[in-house]
Amino acid sequence: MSDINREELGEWLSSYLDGELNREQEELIERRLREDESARRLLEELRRTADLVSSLPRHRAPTSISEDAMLHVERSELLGEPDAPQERLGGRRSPIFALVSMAAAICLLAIGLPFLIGDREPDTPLRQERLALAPEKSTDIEAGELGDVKMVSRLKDRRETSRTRRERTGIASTAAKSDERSSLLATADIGRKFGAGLGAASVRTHAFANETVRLKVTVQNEVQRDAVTERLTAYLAERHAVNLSDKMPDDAGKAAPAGSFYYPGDPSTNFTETNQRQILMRASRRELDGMMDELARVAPASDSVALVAGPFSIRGLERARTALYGFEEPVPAVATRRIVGDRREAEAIERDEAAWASPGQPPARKDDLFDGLFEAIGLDPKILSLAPTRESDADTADAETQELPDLTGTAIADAGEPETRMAEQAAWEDMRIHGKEGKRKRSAPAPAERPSLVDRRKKALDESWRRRDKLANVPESTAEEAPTYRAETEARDARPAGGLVVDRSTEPYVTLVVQVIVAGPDNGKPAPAVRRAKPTSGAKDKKRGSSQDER
Amino acid sequence: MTSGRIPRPVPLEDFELIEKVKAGKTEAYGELVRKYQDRVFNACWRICGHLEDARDLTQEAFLKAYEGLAGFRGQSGFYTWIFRVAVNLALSHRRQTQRRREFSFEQGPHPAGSQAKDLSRRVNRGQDDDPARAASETELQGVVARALQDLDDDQRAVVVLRDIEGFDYREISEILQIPPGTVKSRLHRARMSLYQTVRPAVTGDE
Repeated sequence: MSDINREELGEWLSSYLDGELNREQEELIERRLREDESARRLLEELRRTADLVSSLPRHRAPTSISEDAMLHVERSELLGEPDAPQERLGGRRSPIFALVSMAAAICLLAIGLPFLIGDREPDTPLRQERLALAPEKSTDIEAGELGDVKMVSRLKDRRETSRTRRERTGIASTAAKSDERSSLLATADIGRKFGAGLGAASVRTHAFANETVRLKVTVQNEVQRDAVTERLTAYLAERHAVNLSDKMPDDAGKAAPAGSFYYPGDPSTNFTETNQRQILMRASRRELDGMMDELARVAPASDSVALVAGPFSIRGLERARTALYGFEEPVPAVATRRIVGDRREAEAIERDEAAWASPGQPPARKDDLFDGLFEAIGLDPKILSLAPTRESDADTADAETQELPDLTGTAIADAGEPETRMAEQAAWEDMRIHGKEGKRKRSAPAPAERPSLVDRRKKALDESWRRRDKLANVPESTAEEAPTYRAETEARDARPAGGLVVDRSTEPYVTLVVQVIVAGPDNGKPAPAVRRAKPTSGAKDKKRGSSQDER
Repeated sequence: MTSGRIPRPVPLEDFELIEKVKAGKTEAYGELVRKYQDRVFNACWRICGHLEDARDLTQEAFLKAYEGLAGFRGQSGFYTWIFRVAVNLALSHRRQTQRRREFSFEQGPHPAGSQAKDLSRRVNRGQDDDPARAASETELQGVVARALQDLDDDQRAVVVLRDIEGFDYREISEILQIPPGTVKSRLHRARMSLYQTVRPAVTGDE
């Protein structure tokens, strides 16, 4: 003890002061203190300093801290966000949880179907969040238009209380920073971040878990994982999708990218497990098709691909492919412009575009996730019942995987769903496809002959895609047209003088996260399978058609 | 307003509350927030040097902790865990704001000039001076508080956790993710540095 320097002595004395020495060390230091005047002085200085620091005044935390924190927590709970702790517990889901999920899925469908048939947007959590995000004036919506008025008004009340308290505590300058809007944006999906003007740079801190749609590819080892990821990113690059990680350094904070993009995730932000890779991407149907083809080539088996969307998990490459189309939505009005060579054609395209995005049209329905899901599981959406059939009861015994419930039963239309809504919807779709004349051209079919809602919507979608293809001048099947497209692509990049710029911002895209994960004890468990509904007399044909589509 | 070291929390109560939160009773998280918000707030305040920033940092720490609660296995107490989150946030915030201030002043027409650096230091110090804090402190406490802000970030964090929050060395080591030996040496150097700064005010020597 006598040969240690002053620095070491000081450390010993600090520890002695804080009661961090054992008995033997204490005796040593006390002996030194008895013998050494300078050690005693040093100890006194240290004690004095510690006392001065510990006597510094304390403030009570502003009450708005707990209120704001609880507002966020409550919101997470109410909206079922992925950051709610109880949702991420356990990792592996129990069969009971699966059954509860199925029941929830049925309820979701039961709630969503009237909106499908009517002209309202389904009251999804996304919609509720969007309502909460909207300016104050837009929250003054009639009660009937909100799915859960109590929840929204409660959030509003809490927000108001919180704001008032913040003003009272005099810390007004931070109110804006900690406003719910910013926390809502932090958890918003990428589409709404772009919509809010956050720009491409916002993907840097974007949590991929906020995306509704995930395409999960399970592989056996890290080599496969990297190969699949690289192949997909290479494919997207070949398709001229914008790589946001390349774009960000120069264009940080600037406009959202138009059209397709991809962003390989950041492990510190987007991966919960080290054995996975994730890509956030937005792709058109054509690109999605190409990507699924790539996956079919590189993924080990069709079953290793699953589409996870909210409570649904759809296993199998082709089912996932079909279901993905249900998530298409138009890209927000950002300049997606192309050069075309021929003025007459360009003017025709402009007219079509104007008709396509005409004001006063009913709300966009592209975010109906049910169509794709119905198609994927081979169901006619008109058919819905909470009571399973006897056949389906028998089948549940051998089900080892998580299954969606059998949704066979009574037709909604027969159960009193207003026929007028269906007619209005059909008329709207006709108008959208054929213009105003379409309504007159349509001859109302007898109820028994009327095509199902899925058929009508599928037809509408196919029609819209033919229209899109025409506008884009991209050949689908005619080999002769291919050079035109290539030339136009080159022309787009070169931007020749005299070309006409056409806004194509309404082209629908799907935003999703591709998750390539190595099979492990938790995450290697195959995604829950979706059992197809037992065929009823009305659904047999549908099922047969769907089976043929699968590989 | 109070001063002095604070009583230690009871971890068992925290675990029960956390289990309730995990079971879906989110109101239990409110209890945890109310229980620790004063301590976290004061620690953030003393580390970042500004009350308003401390408020935001405290709130952010509790939100981050909530989001990570599913991964909380109880190997350390919630008390130390929430402090780890808060202290990391406060230190990052402090570094960011310092970088911004220094950058804006030292990238002027005379980037290498000592005048610019001196001005930057004065402004930094001026921004750390908080009217609310000044009103609530005696003259000596003001000297100590400013001396605390003049310490290196790492040293200040150790002093705050030990002398204001009363954590022991093992807990500080856990919160700051540094070895206990480093805690000991940083704490000693910080105290000596503080004493050198405040000695004139304490002894009356100028």
